[in-house]
Amino acid sequence: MNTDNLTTAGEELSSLEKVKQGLKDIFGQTTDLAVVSVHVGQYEGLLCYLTTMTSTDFITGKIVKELSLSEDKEQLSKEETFRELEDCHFSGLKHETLQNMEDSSNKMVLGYAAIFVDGLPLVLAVDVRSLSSRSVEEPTSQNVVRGPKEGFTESADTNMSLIRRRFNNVKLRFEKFELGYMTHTAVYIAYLDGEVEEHILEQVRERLNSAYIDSLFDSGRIEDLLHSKGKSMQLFPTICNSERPDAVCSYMINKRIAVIVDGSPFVLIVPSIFTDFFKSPEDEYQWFVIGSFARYLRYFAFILSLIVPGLYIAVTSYHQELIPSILLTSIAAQREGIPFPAGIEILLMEITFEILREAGTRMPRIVGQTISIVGALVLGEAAVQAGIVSNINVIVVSLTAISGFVAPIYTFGAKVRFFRFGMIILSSLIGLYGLVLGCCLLMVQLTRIESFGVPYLSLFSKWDKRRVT
Amino acid sequence: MIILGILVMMVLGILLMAMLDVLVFQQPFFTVLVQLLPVYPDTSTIYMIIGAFVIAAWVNFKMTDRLKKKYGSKSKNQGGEKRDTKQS
Amino acid sequence: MTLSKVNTVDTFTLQLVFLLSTSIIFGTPSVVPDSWLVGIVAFFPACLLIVIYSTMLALQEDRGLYPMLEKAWGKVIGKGFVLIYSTYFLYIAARNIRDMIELIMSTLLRMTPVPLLTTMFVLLIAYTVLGGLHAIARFASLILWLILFMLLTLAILLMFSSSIILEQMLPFLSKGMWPVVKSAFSFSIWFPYGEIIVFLVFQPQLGGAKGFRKITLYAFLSTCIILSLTDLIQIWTLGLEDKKYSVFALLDAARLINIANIITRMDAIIALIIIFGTLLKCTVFLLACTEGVARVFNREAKDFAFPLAVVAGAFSILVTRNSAEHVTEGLKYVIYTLHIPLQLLVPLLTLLLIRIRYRKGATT
Repeated sequence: MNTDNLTTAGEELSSLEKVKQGLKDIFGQTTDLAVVSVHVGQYEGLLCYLTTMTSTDFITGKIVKELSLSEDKEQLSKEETFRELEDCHFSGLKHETLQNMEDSSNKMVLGYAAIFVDGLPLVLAVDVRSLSSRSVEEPTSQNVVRGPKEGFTESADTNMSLIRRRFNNVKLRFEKFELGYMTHTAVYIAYLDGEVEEHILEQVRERLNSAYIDSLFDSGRIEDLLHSKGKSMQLFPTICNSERPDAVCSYMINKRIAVIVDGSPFVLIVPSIFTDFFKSPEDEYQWFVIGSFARYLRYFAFILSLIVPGLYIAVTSYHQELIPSILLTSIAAQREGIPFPAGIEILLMEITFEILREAGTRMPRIVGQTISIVGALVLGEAAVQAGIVSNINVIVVSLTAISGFVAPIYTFGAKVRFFRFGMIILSSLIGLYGLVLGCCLLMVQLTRIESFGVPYLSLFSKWDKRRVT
Repeated sequence: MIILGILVMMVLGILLMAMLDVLVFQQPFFTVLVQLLPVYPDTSTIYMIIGAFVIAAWVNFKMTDRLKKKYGSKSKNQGGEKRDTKQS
Repeated sequence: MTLSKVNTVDTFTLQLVFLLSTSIIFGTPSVVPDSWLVGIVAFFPACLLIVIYSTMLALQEDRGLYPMLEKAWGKVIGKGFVLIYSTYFLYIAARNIRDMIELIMSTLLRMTPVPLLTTMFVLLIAYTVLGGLHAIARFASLILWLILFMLLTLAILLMFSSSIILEQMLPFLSKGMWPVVKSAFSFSIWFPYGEIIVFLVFQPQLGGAKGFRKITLYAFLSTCIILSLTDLIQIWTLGLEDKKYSVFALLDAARLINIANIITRMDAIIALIIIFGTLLKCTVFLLACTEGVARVFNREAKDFAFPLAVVAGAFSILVTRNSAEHVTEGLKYVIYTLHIPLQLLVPLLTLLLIRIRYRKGATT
C-alpha cells in the first residue's frame, strides 16, 4: 500500500470532526452506523462500521482488542502507527488503505470497518464482514439418494469455498463482478484456467460487464443476460443451474464456467447444452449401466411428457384405425357419455393439474396435505365418476405430469410444459400430422440454438475434434 | 427488391410448370398456362401467393423495425440493436 | 459465424438424409422387376457426377455453384443461370412437398384441406431455413437416427410377422441385365443421386472439393446400401408384381406387419417419419434457392426465406392436377427436361468454359 502520496489526500479526512460530519452526510440517520471513538496508538481515532454487516463478537474480539494492544506500544509518529496497525495488528484480516471518504464509505457498505486517525489523511479499511447465513444443508430442489448431501447456500463466500474444497487445484479461478446499480451485488465466475475456452470466457465477462440492471436478488435474473442471441424466441433454457457443489464441479471439469451470485443458492452453468439438463450427478456415482439407464429413461420421459397427450387426442379423434381394435373398444366404452371431445377433455385436466401444481408449490407446507387429498380424490376420482372426464384421460394426464418432473433440473420441465400445450392444440386441430409438425418444430428449435457458440444439441459432437464441449 | 425477386421466381416457376404440362398433356402452351393459373377451380393458392407477397412486402419495407420504432419501448430497442451489432 | 465450416460427420449425415428422405418412400422407380439391383448399378455412374462436381469445385477454390456460374458465363448470362437453378430448386422443393402431401392424404388425413397442410409445412420449412446450414446439418443427424431406427424396426417386425419370403425375389434377372442398366441410367442417377448438385451451392460452408469428394462418396455408398436393402425388403414382402404396381411400396410392405393383432398399421408411423425427411430435403432446396435469389437481387438470403417458402407451397398445389400426372411427369419429363440438362449438361459446359477462360487468363 502506498502511503507516500499524502498530498493527494482529501480535505475531508483532516480532522475527526470532519470525518464524523462526512459520515453523517453520506449515511444520514441510519441506525446501524456505529461510530466509536478509539485510541489508535497514542492518538485519537475513530472506528466506523455498519453493525448489520458484522457481529459484535467479531468487532470486540478482533478489532477493539488489537486497537487496545496498539496503545501499549512506544511512541511512534502517526504514519508509523498506521503502518504498525496495518502490518502487525490487522495483517491477518483482509485490509486496504484508502485515501478518501467516498471509497471508505463504499467499503463500509460491503462490510468493512474503517479506522480513521486524527489528522492523518489515510483510512484503514478492515474486513469485518461476518454475516449470519443458512448453514450448509441438503439441497431442496435437486436431491440424490447416493452422493454428497451438501448444497449451496445464499452466501457466495460459502459457495466458493464449497467449490474450492473440491478442487485442490491451482488452476481454479474466481473472478468478481459487480452487478446492479442499486444493489451492487457481487457476482463471481469460477472456472478452471486452461480448460475453459477463452472466447467463451470473454463473452461471459463482456456480458456481465455490460449488464445494466438495477438489482439482482437471484441468479435467475442474470440468466436472461447471459442468454445467447434470439433469446425471445428461445423456448429451451440454455443456462443450467445447480444447487449441488458436486454437480457444479463436474460441469467445470467439462470446460464450463460457473456463475455464482451472492444471495442465491443456485449456481449457473454456462454454456449449457441439451444433455446437461438430463444429467444428474448421481449417474456418475453408480454403476455406469444403471446411470445411463436412468439417463435414457429421463429422455424417454421427456418425450413422453411432450407427446402423450397429443398422441391420445390425435389417435382417438382422428386416427382410430391406428389403435388395435380391442383397445379401441375399451377406450370407446369409457368415453361413452363424456360430453367433451378428447381435446377439450385433456386440456381441462391439464389445466387443472397445472393449477394444482402451482398451488402445491406456493402453499404453506402445513396445508400441503389438503391439496393432495383434494387433488387426488376430488379431481381425479370424482371427475371420472361424475362423467366429466374418462378414466384413460386421467391416466394420460397423470403419466405426462409425472414424466414432466423427471428432468433433474426444474426450470427445464417448466418450459417443456408450454410445448405440451402447443402439441395438444396442434393435434386437436389436425391430428397426427400436427403432432409431427410440432415435433419437427421442436427438433428444429433444439438444433438451431447455440449457447455461446456451442451447439445446443448435436448428436455427433463427440466425433468432432474441433467442437468445444 | 424482395417483392421483385419473389415475382420473378413466381413467373419463372409458373413458366417451368407450364412447359412441363405442355410436354405431359400435349396441349398448346396458352391453354396449359390458363389452366395452370390458380383462378379456377381451386382458389386457395391465390391466397397463398398473396400471402407470399404480403410477407415479402413486410420484409422489404422492414415493417418489424418500423413498428418497433413506433411502439416499442426505447430501452428494449437499444438492447436489441446492441445485441445485433455484437453478432455482426 | 458464417464462414465456419460444418463438421464432416454432420455434412455426411446431411447428405445421407437428403439422399434418403424421399427416395426411401418412393423407392427406386419400379420399371424393371429387379429394382434393387438398379440402385447398386446406378451407384457407379453416379460417382462420375461426383468427379465432375468436385473438379468444378477444385477449379474454383471451393466457391460454390453460383459464383462459379457467374464466372464461367459472364455476369448477365451467369445471373440468368443462377435464376434458372433457383427456379429448379424451388420446383423440386414444391414437388417434394406435393409428394409428402399425397402420402399424408392417402394414409392419414383424407378430409383435411390440402392448403392448410401445405401452409403449415411450408412455414416450418422457412423457419428451418432461417437457422442456417449448421442447424440444418444438426437437424439431419437427428433425423438420420429416426430413419435408421424406423427401417430396422420395420425389418424386425416384418420378420416376426413372417412376411418376409425370400423366394419372392425370384425370377432373378428374368429379362437380362440390360433393362436394369437402362433404368439405372435413365432414373436412378438423376434421382436421388444427381440432386446432390444442390450441395455445390453451400460449398463455402462445407468441406470444399476434397471434402466433397470423400464425404459424398461415402454418402452415395451408404445411400446405395440402404436403398437396396429397403428395396429388397419390399420385394421380399410384396413380391415382384405387387411392388411394381404399388405407389408407396414401403408403406404397403409395412401394412403387412401384424404381431398378435396389437402392432398393426405401422404404415402410418412410417408416413409420419417421412415427414421429417421431406422437411429436411425441402429445407436444403429452399436454402439453395434463397441464396440464389438473394445473389441476383442483392439482398440477405434470410429475407427471402418466408415468402419463397409460401410460393413453394403454392407451387406444390399447382404443380400437377392429379397424382397420375404427378408420377408420369416425375418419371419422364422432369428427368429429360430438367435433371439431365441441369445436373449434367450445364455443369459440364461450365466446367469446359472455366477451363478455357482460365487458360486464356493464365496465358495472357
